[in-house]
Parts: sequence; structure tokens; C-alpha cells
Amino acid sequence: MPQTLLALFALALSSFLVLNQQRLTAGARQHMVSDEVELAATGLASDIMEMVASRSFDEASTPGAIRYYQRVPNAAAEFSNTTRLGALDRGDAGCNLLHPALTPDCDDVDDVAGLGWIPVQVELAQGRHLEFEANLDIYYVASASSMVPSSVPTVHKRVVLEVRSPFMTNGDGAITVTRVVSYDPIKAEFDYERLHGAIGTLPAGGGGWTPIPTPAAETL
Amino acid sequence: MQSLIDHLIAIMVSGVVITALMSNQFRSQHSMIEQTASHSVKAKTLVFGKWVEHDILNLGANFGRNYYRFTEPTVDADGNTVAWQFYSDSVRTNGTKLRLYTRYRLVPTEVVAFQDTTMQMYIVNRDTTAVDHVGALPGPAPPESAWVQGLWSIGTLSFFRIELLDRWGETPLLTSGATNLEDVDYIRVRFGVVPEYVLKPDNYIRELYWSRTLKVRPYWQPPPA
Repeated sequence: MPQTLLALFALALSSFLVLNQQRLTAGARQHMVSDEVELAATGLASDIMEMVASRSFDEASTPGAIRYYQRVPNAAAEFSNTTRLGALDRGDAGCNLLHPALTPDCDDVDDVAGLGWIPVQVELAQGRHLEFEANLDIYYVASASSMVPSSVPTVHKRVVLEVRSPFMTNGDGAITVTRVVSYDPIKAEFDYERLHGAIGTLPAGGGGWTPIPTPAAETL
Repeated sequence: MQSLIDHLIAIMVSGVVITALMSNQFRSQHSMIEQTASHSVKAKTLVFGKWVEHDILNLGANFGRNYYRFTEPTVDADGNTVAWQFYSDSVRTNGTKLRLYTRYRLVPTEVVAFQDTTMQMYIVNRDTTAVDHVGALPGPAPPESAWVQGLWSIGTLSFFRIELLDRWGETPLLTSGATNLEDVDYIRVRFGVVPEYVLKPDNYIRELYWSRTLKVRPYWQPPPA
């Protein structure tokens, strides 16, 4: 009888030790995976953020709008109203965050606002992928260092990007990065001139101005 | 024999306990080695990423204006960038220029075997050279003998890709199919790193991923307006 009790005690003790150790090992592995995914998410956030900033600052400064008005906007009052940021002019195809060329109507910074969580993936070796979801919020701010939304258009837009994955278990399972994109009229003009040539000069080949179609309000 | 039968339960229980503890010890050891390897590979990934980022952010330094300052990357069948060259200038106090060339060469190293797959590993050889240069236009490539191999690299890369992108996230192409270098606004670098220690039966973490999209220094001439 004492021998059986001792055996049961030994089993209970070893089970406790083993389970405890297994719990620690599983936790450590979960953290390792989370760290790995977090590093990938950081890189993905850098890629997305640059491709957001590469777009025109506002619908009024896109090459299409400059071509229509034959001038580059030079005042914040010319930019979209704060209530118009987002879905109004990005078209039905939505926004491709890594390859803007695939969604050409999503052509200015605030078009990516309010998309909700959309799937994005990064490509690993041998064709494998790592899946993430990204969410963006855009709002005007009074200065490049401000975090407070402005109620009137300014020359600064703050981009807040969240990237999440179910495998990121540290913190709230998402990383958040933010930066301010400021209006640069030289960039706006350069983007225009790459497509249409210099403003105020005749198109190459002569023959006068190419007739400019009147764009619908929502595509401007 | 009588003694063995008397202690049968004790023998069985001790066998179970010893097996469980040994198994636990083995798993614990595996986990500890893997954590060390994981930490090591993460540190290497971040350091190598920093070097590449430093190189790209500095390409074209001291260039006059309006000239691209990198070549089109050479890509292999797997999409890896096997060769890429870029340059920047250093201006001496007397006004003459020293052109600093840097090139990346991707060289296969070992094949690593995991439980269900194998993976080719690579090293990026980072070579540099400096030659006297006149004018802003890219000059002829330096002779092979002029290159000096630098060791800012790691040898456990699983892939290495450099993409030259325009502002639409696409590689701008000429009608000939070659990259239009003058329209490149961004350089995206992506690579994966495999842990140094491959464990049996398998590693929990097989590959760490690193990516950055960097806006290259503006090299276009601002519009006259």
C-alpha cells in the first residue's frame, strides 16, 4: 500500500513538472512565431506606407485634375473637403495597397481611407506566402507633427496604418505605424509632366491642345 | 524473482517517470537551442537589413542631378537578384570627383534540408571600388581587378530580391523590355534568412522575412515651372 501511494505521488509530481515545462515551451514557441511575423509585418507596413505616399496628395492634384485645370493646386482650400476623404472617388475596384497600378482610380492618398481590413500578403522563398490584413485611416492635420484631425483641408494628411495577423500574439496582435504625407507641388507637377508633358506647352507633334474630356465630378 | 515481482509496480512507475522526464528534457533542450537560433537569425536579419538600407539610402550621394545612379538588376529563374550595381560620388576639396561603385553578387552557398523540403541558401557578396570620374554621366564599369570584396553580408539567405519600382508599384519598362531606370522612384528590397542551426526533426521557425521599400534620392531635375 505505501509503495502504491509513493508511485502515485511520483507520477503526479512528474506529470506536474512535465506539463509545466510543456506550457513554458509552447509559450516560448508562440512568442518566437509572433516575433517572426511581427518583423514581416513591419516590412510590409513600410512597403504599404511608401505606396500610399507615392500617390497624388489629393484628387485635385492628380495628373487628371491638373490636365483638366491646366494648373497645379497651390492652396489647401483647393483640396477635398474633410467629409470627402475615402470612398467617393476611388472607383469600384478598391485599392491595391502594394501595386497601385492595378487600381488606377485609387490615385490619391486619401482614397485608401476607410477600406476596412483588407488582405495583403508577403511572398517568401519557394512561392510560400504569409497572410496579413491591413487597415488605413487618413485625416488632415494642421502640422506635420500633429496627431489631431483638422476640420478643414490642410497641406498635411496623416496616414495611420495597422497591420495584423492571427499569429501575432504580442500586445493586441497588430502593429500600428503612422506618418504625415505633405503636399509637394513639385511632385504633383512632375507626376503630371511624366504623363502629359509640360504644363502650358503644346503637346509633342504639334496640332494644338488635345481636347480635354470633361471628367465626371467623382473622377476628379 | 520474488524481489522483482514485489517491486513490479515501482519498476513500471519509475520507467514511466524516467521516460517522461527524459522526453521533457529533450524537448526543453530543443526549444532552448531553437530560441537561441531564432534570436541569432533575427539579429542577423536586422543587421543585414540595416546595411542594405544604408547602401540604398546613400546611393547617388553627391551626384549633380538628373542622372540615375544604379543599373538594372540581373534576375535568375527563381526571381532572385543575382547582380546589381550602383554608385555615388565623393567630391574632393579640389573639386574633382571620386566615383564610388558598389555591387551585390548573389552566390549560392549550401543546401539546407528540413523535414519535408530543401532550401538553397545564398550569400550576397558586396564589392566596392572607387575610381576618378569626370562629369555626371555614368562612366564605363570599372575593370574586374579594381573591385574589392567587402564582407557586409550573411551566408544564410533563402532569397534576395531587389525591385525597381515607379510610383505605381510597377517596374517601369521601355518598349525594348528593359527597365526604364529614369522612371524608378522606389527600390524595394526583400530577403529571407534561414536559421543557422537546423534541428531534428525540424525547426519551428524556418525563415525570417525582411522587406523595405525605400524612396531613392530624387535624381530628376525639378520642372522649370
